[in-house]
Amino acid sequence: MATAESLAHELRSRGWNTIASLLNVTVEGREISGTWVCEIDDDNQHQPVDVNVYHYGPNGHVWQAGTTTHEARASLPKTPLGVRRIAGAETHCRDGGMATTQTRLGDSLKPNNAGVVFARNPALGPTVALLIAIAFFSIATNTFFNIDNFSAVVNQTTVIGALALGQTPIILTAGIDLANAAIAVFGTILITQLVSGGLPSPIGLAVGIVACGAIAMVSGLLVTQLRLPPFIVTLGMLAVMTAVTNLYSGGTTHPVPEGLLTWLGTQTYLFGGIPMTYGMGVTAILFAITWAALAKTAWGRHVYAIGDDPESARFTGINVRVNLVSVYIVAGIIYGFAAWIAMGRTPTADPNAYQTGNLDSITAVVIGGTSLFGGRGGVAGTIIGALIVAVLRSGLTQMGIDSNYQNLATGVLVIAAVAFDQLTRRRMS
Amino acid sequence: MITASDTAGPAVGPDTDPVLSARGLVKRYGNVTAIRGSDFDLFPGEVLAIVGDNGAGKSSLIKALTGALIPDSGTITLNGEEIRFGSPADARNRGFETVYQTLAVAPALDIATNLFLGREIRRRGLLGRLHILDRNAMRTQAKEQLDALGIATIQDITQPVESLSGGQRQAVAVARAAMFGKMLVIMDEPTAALGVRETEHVLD
Repeated sequence: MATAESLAHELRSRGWNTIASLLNVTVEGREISGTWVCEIDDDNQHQPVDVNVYHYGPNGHVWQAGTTTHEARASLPKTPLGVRRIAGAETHCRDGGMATTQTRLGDSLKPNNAGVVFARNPALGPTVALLIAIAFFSIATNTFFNIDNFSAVVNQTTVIGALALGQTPIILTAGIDLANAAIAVFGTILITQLVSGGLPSPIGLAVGIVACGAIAMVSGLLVTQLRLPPFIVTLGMLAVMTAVTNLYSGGTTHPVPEGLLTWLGTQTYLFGGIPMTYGMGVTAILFAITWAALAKTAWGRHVYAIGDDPESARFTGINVRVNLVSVYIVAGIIYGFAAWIAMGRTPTADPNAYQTGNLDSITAVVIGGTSLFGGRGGVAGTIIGALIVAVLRSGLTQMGIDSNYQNLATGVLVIAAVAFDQLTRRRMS
Repeated sequence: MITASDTAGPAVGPDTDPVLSARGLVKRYGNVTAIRGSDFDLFPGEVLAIVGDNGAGKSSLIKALTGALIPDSGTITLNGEEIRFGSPADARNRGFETVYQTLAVAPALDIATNLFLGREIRRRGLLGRLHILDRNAMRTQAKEQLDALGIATIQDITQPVESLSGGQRQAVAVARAAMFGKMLVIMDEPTAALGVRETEHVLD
């Protein structure tokens, strides 16, 4: 087994002039013996230094795990950056003078860097932000920290949350859907008209949800068969659906027939004290199903693979077109449920409702840590993203802050979220 | 384009019928002719190397065999039967596995998921009927495969492929091909990013 002295000797023989420190590196709370950090260029305490990280192999070989640069000497003992870099580095083994190359990635070199943890769990950053926002408004106002207020905030997010839920798999494929709210609004008008015209409400509701799926499928087919960019396709669909909705509704609002269509607005008390609506329950179920589909099924893995790199996905035998169209169909069906939830919230089908629903849903998805470039993120982040927007609005309103500043805060948050995504991408690659 | 056939093993040669043969493969991209009437035969156990200059059409020829590209004309026969691949999935179903020059891995997904991409293992029973994946089985098999190949001592099978070095990524792509390639393993520059030791392993 090689020792620190032999390592030092080895280094000197290679022309390193100083060995300033030899220390153990802690990875995930465990001390990894035999991993040494060697620092050179010891002249200036505040200059970036080149660090060579060595790792002892099982036979006493010295593994050089790559060179990295540290911002300052002071950061050395933890070497978070160093540890992260080691994980992807080519290592060189010197064996009796014969230099061979070996790719090595031991469990001892598992990254424990905070950046990596956040990059691997895109919903983590938004969750922290949400908790900070809740804590802040709970301290800043007397009215925010209150179960009724929390319930109201959640209830406010149900429609945009469901729209964002449908939007999430589309954005995961590096697409976007600008028509989602327009489709849902069309759904409310269609269902209301059908049921008002005498169709039984379960059938009217089912027809409306299927219709939303079919309309979104048209977007998906245009994207896959004509290879048009999703942005343009759904921008067109937005205009078309808005026009169709206005023509079909005569430009006026229609009362939603009471019963099944307004059932999701029913208030109930969970555990005797927590006010909630059935709409909140349905939204939660939709989230759970979509989460499982994305995280636990091959279909979901393929959605991520396509968003990551469509060409590679095709090479691995994934039918990219079929998967993409299915993503739009799933999204459309969720928009149909969003229409149902919306009718529960306000029992009037309004052709002019949710005009910024598309952008609000994209905001929720992006703040939730899903990458607009595809392949990263998920619905867990989307819930959090939708809640962050609602908490900001509610909290700032209760602080008496003008709604223009609320919009400003949301805008800054969106840009910050995208910037964070770009940053983690660059660090990972 | 130059094609060089390197016959390896004793029971190889013109006495046996070719496993795979191509006749008159042509592929044009606009005015550019990538493949101009390529013919070749591949015998059982044979290693066929395709050598050529940059832009000679090596990758195009390989893609024509893997279904990633559909040739304009010409035929490919497998064990005497003419086959037509409409997509890479068709080629995979025939037991053709490919290591692409671009590796064809999804960087943000983990190693195990990448190995099983497009042919995931489902759980048994009700959860399997619901299309729920058996992640543990995939991880175990992926680990066994990587260990068996000895290509890379990757110990954390759950880390995203993008956190690996270029050579390790290539090792993942090679492991995938070796794992599922029952009929034929096609490699497009398989050792471009590998170290000396891994290259030896791949060539073995």
